Amino acid sequence: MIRKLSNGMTVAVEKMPNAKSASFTILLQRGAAYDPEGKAGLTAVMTEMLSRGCAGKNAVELISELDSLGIERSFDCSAEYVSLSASLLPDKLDRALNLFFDIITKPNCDQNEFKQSVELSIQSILAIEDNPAEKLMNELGLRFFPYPLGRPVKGIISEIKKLTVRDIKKAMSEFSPETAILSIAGNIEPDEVLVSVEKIFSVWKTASEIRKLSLTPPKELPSHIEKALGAQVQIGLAAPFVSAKDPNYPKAILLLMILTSGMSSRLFVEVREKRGLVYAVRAFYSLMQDNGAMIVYAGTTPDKAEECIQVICAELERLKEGANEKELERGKIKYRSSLIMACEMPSSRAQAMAVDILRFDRVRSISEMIESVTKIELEEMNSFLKSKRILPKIILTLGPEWRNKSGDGGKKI
Amino acid sequence: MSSNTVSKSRYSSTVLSSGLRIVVEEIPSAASVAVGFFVETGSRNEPPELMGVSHFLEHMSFKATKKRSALEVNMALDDMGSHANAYTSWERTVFYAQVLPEFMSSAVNLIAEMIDPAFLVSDFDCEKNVILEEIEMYNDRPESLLFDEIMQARFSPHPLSGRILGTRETIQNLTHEMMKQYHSERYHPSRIVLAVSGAVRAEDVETVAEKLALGSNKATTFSAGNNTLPKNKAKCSRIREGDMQEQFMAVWEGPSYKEHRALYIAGMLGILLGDEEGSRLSWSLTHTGLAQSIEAGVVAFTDTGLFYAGFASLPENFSKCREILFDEIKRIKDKPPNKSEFERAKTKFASRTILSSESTQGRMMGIGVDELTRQPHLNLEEELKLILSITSDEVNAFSSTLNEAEVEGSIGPMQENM
Repeated sequence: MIRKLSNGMTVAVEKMPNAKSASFTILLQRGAAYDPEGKAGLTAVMTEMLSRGCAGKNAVELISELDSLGIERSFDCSAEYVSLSASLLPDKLDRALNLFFDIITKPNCDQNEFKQSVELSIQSILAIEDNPAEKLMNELGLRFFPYPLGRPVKGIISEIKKLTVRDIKKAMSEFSPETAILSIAGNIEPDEVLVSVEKIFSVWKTASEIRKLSLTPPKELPSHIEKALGAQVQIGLAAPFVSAKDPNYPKAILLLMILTSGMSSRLFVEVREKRGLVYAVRAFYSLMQDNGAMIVYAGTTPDKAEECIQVICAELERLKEGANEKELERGKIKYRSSLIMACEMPSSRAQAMAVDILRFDRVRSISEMIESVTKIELEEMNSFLKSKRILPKIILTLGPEWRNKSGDGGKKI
Repeated sequence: MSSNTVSKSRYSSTVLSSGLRIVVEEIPSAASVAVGFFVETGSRNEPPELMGVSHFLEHMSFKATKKRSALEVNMALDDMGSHANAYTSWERTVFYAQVLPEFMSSAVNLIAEMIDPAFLVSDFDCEKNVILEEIEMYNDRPESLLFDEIMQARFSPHPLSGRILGTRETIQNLTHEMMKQYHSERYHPSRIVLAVSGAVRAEDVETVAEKLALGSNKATTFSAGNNTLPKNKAKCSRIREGDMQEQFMAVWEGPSYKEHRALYIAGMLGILLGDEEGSRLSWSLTHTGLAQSIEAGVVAFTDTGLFYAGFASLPENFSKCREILFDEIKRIKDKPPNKSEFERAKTKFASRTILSSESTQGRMMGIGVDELTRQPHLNLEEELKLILSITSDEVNAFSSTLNEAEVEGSIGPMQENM
């Protein structure tokens, strides 16, 4: 069930008869990419502040109330949106929705809470140094996606230090029902829930200012980031890939299954099983507005980095030779299986519904998703594979020096 | 509020003549089935020169069996659309797969076949490299290294103090014969539990299990690992120059698997003290921006346990954070939670238990571990009843045992910090 409220907010509700709990996801389409020049990190600080008081309740009161309602929650931000998610017992849903409405529309923006959030946000950036795989992904995004979509969400320390509470207030005033998505799934009655949602959210007024992003190509940056004391070389490749609205999107999903899903998938077999080059190697799909990317990650010791990259590139290239029937069948059963198992949990379903609305302006049913992939025939899949070459635009490494003595490293590949 | 139409789950347990224990939780409303083989062997059973062998063995089970090549094993797992994996812990090795209901018997049969691998030398040699890479991967994740240091300090020289992954040296020196020998001593049906949860019938599981040929190993008596366990008091510190943050953890004696109710009581204290939001440590350490993260909880073993509390911070805040952590331990004894603070923690505990019961894999892990560690089985209602029955007196009685930390450990760039 999907509805647009009078103020433009999109709401989707789905009953899951076998669930015990209820879960909802709110996406506010004002993410880190909307942080003005010189204020990178504003959204991250703002997200940290969301649980720190609203509608006159201070942080202790708000957090205690959330805890008393037994709400498992997370507040996150990406380049495109801020997301608020909650899982709870169904009888608490009304109160939770009311509370979350206050969190979004009536933040306290307390000065002291702001100072503490700034501290935490700065530390969070520094902590990434101890997580080289995460740092690699941030740097890869920065080099691949148009700016500011690819700009690291956590921001820049020097710019965070210059933020004021006024910046937070302004950013939060940019949340608008027209660009908000609310999805609810679980042990609920959709009709009743929609009545509640209408009552709570209809009063939310459109933001005075809804900015559009102006995108520029990413900057050229070095292809290796030195971390001399690292144990492994982190490897990341990013290649342009289909967008969600592309009619070939289901074939792209199946391609990913063949490439990376499960222990008989191509990357796992060639990079890990046969050659023992890695413990971790995987590919995944990343989407920023209409910019689709296939990202491949691997971690390996310096003496194996060159071979690792070569094998990954060879596998991406080999896709154009087509798949066999067994691979196709395996990919289909994996997809079907993963979907059904994920959707046992209301939290996964609510999240998936919200992202569907974001990408497709509608909610796809599980059977529709399964059908779109399982109906693909081998011939049409292979002609897709032949025409859709996966060419890494960026190859980035992070860690100790690994390049061969001729010093040419990435260029040779 | 709509009425709950979820049908009740049904639990059954049997022991086959081979010694294999089977526990099944039927959840008719589930859309999947989770299958797990829990083997009663882990790093604590390893003599020092075999450090890492249990984990290596876990990897070898995904390689060639007596009937299939490694690739055929992996294809069979994927043909079922399974989410399959395994883990090795101090006292157990667990192999599991979550599948759609129609693949239950294939999954049970395949994993049973896998845990009696062919031990091909080529598989062994290749997989050694993967394990060495895994060791290096964790060397880049300092937050995952601290607990190893604590375990070593606490239980040295007992094998419980060793690294689950082993070290580069012990892994490089492991031979194929050493591993086969270890497997023949440790993998016997009498030391294995098959746990299944989800859209399944107990009798169907038993029918499949009865036909399993779980290898030809003879049962042996336990070797290393059951000697008297040392419980050292120590401070340990590992310097890693390249790290940005300092990680810290303190541990105290906690309940073992033999103390079922005490585990829940200690878990409750973990929430009160170290939950991500709303806990004593979160208010004084992370909410204020002094620390990046905090944690507290309990790790149980057969004959001992650890209650832990820790944080990660920048070096300039380390001393202050450490002081505050110990202050909060003292304060939870001197100024125990009032009724509403206690009730909130209980609500979180109960809520999380209900939420995690929606995952067939979560349920399967629970019943498997409970059976393997010989704890009583509780269905969801019974478990909630237990949680809601915990009193603040019980929690205060446990927290009053947390005096001076038994072991303190840190990892990071600081040269001198304790």
